[in-house]
Amino acid sequence: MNQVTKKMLLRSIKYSISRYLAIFAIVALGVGFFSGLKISKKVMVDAADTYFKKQEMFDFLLISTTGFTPDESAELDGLPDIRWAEESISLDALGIINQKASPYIWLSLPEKINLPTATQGRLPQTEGECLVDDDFFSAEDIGKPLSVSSFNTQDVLSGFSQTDYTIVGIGNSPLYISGDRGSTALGNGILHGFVYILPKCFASPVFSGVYLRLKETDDLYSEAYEQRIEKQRDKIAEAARTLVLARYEATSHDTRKEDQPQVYLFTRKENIGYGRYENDTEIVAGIANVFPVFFFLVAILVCVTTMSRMVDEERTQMGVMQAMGYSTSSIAMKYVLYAGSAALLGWFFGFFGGIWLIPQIIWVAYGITYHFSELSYGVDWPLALLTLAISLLSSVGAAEYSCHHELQLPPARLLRPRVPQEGKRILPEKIKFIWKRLTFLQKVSVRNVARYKKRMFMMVLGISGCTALLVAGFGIRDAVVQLVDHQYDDVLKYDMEVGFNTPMDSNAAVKFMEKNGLEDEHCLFAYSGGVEIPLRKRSLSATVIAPATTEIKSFFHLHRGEEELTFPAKGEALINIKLSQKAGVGTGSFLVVENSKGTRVKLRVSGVFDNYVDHYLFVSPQTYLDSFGHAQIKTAYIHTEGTVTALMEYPKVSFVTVKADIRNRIENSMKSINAIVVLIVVCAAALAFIVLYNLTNINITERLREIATIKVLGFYAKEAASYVLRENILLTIIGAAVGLFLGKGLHALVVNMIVVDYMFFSTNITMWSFLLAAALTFVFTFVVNLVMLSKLDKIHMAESLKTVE
Amino acid sequence: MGNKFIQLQDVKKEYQTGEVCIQALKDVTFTIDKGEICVILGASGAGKTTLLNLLGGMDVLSSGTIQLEEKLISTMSKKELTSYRRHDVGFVFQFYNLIPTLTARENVEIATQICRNPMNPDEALQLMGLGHRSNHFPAQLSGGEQQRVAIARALAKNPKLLLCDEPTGALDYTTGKAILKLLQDISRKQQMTVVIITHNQAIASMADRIVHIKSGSIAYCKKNPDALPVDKIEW
Repeated sequence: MNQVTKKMLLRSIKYSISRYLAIFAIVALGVGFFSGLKISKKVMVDAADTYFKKQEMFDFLLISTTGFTPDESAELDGLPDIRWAEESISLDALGIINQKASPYIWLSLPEKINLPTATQGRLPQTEGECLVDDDFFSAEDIGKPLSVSSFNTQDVLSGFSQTDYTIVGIGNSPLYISGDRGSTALGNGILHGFVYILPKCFASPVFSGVYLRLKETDDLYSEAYEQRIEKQRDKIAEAARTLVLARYEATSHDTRKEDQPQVYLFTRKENIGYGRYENDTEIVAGIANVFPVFFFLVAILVCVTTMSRMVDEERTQMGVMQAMGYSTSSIAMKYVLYAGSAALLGWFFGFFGGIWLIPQIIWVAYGITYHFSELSYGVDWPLALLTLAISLLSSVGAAEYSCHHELQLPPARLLRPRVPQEGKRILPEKIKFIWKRLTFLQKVSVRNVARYKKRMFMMVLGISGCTALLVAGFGIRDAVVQLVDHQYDDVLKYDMEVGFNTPMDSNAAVKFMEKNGLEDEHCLFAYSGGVEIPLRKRSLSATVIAPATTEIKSFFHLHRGEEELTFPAKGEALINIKLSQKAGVGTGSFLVVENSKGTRVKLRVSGVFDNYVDHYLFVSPQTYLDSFGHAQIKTAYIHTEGTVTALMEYPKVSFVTVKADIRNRIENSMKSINAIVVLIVVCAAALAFIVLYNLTNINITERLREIATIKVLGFYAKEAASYVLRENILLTIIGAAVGLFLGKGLHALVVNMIVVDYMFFSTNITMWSFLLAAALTFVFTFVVNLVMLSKLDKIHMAESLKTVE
Repeated sequence: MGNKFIQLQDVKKEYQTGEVCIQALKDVTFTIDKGEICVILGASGAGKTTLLNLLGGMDVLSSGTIQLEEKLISTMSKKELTSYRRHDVGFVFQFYNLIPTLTARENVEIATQICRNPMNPDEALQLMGLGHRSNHFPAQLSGGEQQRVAIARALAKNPKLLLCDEPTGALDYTTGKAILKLLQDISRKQQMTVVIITHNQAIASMADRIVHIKSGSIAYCKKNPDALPVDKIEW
């Protein structure tokens, strides 16, 4: 490029800055969105990797039915490849705070492996202190007393050497990075958090388990780590088994309590939080593969239309350059550099802006569930190169493609004006019925749409994309709102769940109801407990409910769509839809269920019901008795206007859960989704705006003479504007209609990706969402049209008509 | 008699648009001598511009030959034609075709930057009497001034051949005459071959050779030994 042609390029950018910016903006948007989402997975994994390494997350957990002695633990510590072994005690027990009892998992405070962090306050230092779960307690609880409830069984109580504690801090634990705490045989089957106390607060002579940490460390979730674990697990399990068996053999036959002790080896995979997090990072990566592809497509199309228009405008100039003896490649170079430089700048701002901003949004969105650390940023250079390559290829490619054809022609052709398209009869004309009814100007608009097919198609694409994004975004919000409403209004119909500390026979039940002013129809007594449903790679926590009567409709509305389900017979179970999907078990098939003691049974699924949060199985008490050996009624679901305190005063009541509280918690945790929806809406708006603005701009500049002519003919400003903008409106209608359909599909795709084990998102989108999406699309179009209005106004009739033909 | 500079032999140019075949030029045979001013006359649509484009390597003929000195233009490759236009030909268009984003000087410079024996751009503008306007953009120049810049651009290349397509078509009588006088002076002083296309018969009197095209064929081609200076022509 020589000096003058360089000046030509720079001035050309200066004088067509909105065209330049259109390319810049669409590339920035596409690259930013894509890179931001793609790197979010890496950033999330890195954050967890750093956290797990810092907190010394375990690699193996050994559990034996007879526990482990300190000597055995020391032996394991001495194994090759093991950096540390640390004994740990864990015990499920009811704890009382503020006169409310809930089931907690009490853990020994470790020093080497799985170190908890105090987010407020501090770690316990003496026997009377404890650290509690910051997911379930707040800073206000620091200083309050928490004791092991006297309503625990003797077995449980004897596990503690100390029952009264003061909360000195709240915090998080690497064993529980998500909100799941797991299931328990206590209470309603779901743990309400962990409590860390010093090891000497437990009265057990042997330890529940030993955690092991390998000498070598690998990247989180990596293949290398998987392989290392595979290699080591059998050796370690063997070593543990040998030790435990040796101890067993050493004890005399009569003091032996049971048959041969069992040793179980667990890896990180069985940790709920660990597994869920991996799941969630995959979801983010999944979304990253869906949405942004669309943006890239639009970006390429925008580049092509923009550069085509530019080449068209400068035909004569290109011809003159050829007349002067400039080569084809040197002439094309200007357009290549124009588009390429715009794309390069777009890539730069998009990439670095996107990888900074979007992970933040995602992290805040997931922050309700995961808040174990701050995000750390990183740059993914391969991703940078990939996006750069795509940006340059599409912009340069578009430029090349646009001028290639023209430059192949004899230069004389370029100097002659382009042959205008023939007027043609179009399809709508043939439909006389409609055609007759259109006004003249409406007919002109329809003809124009047919005339500029490529550009109009692009506009429809851009607009439908915007509408589709809005539909998907609002649809996601719908799914979330419906989830809460359906679950807590439609499926779960009771107000409170009461847990008792002793089995309630019919006498006890009647007395309870009398004392608390409850009628028969207000109370449903049941057995409720936690079970695991083993899947291929992990297991799901579920709650089994065995109600005392079969009339449960006013407490649990079990239905599938319109179909009401009948109470299950012996050996059968009703399960919720998500569980059915995850376990791949439908009506008529058998589901494997495992209780907290490890007993496994097969139950025949007699029906699948709609349910949105958590997993449930409904069985008859007989079924439960047959399967797991005991079925004590210790739960009641009640309808009441009364208070929790009143109920708690009843001596047999050990805890009360208010459904409204749970509903609030879930609603709060869903707020993260709103952040994502807002992100989508903003991007949809940006997309619509860029495409519409750019294309309308091109439309106007191409038809300058036409517009100037009608102004000369006496069209008022508004009429001249609607001459062009009417097409925009027509296309917006078509685009929005198409977009509504596309949006439904896109929504289903996204819902499929946002898979959370214990929540069911329906693919139903409300009418309001569709209307809102369409309405917003029209608003965006309206805004663009307003901006274009002023541009149209400025068209100087005389100047425009002077141009050469 | 001058030496033969350009020779056209049985030149034919056809356009195919869909099923229709348009014969723009047929059986065109004539020669132009070096240093001549050749005026090509004809009504609108007769084929004048087509002929000029072929002479300037801007288009490719369907059959026949065009020879400039020893070079056979008609068989040149695209690259050779580009080279030909770069060094040997200067174009002047009816509507000037200046680059609007470049100043007058830069418009001349863009041509001089790439040829092997150029004039100094400022000198070229001086020659056209526009030395004081070299920093102005085309939008700030009148029609006549723009055309003069265009001529400066063509001349600055020191071409062997100057091709002008209706150079005064967009100009008024006085300005037009001034332009034609310039072209005549350049031709005389620098022994440059100038080909001018026009539909205005009166201009023919300034020419050394007159070629009349009618419906794509040569009606006549004759030398004009009594070529008049432009000052003396009225129309």
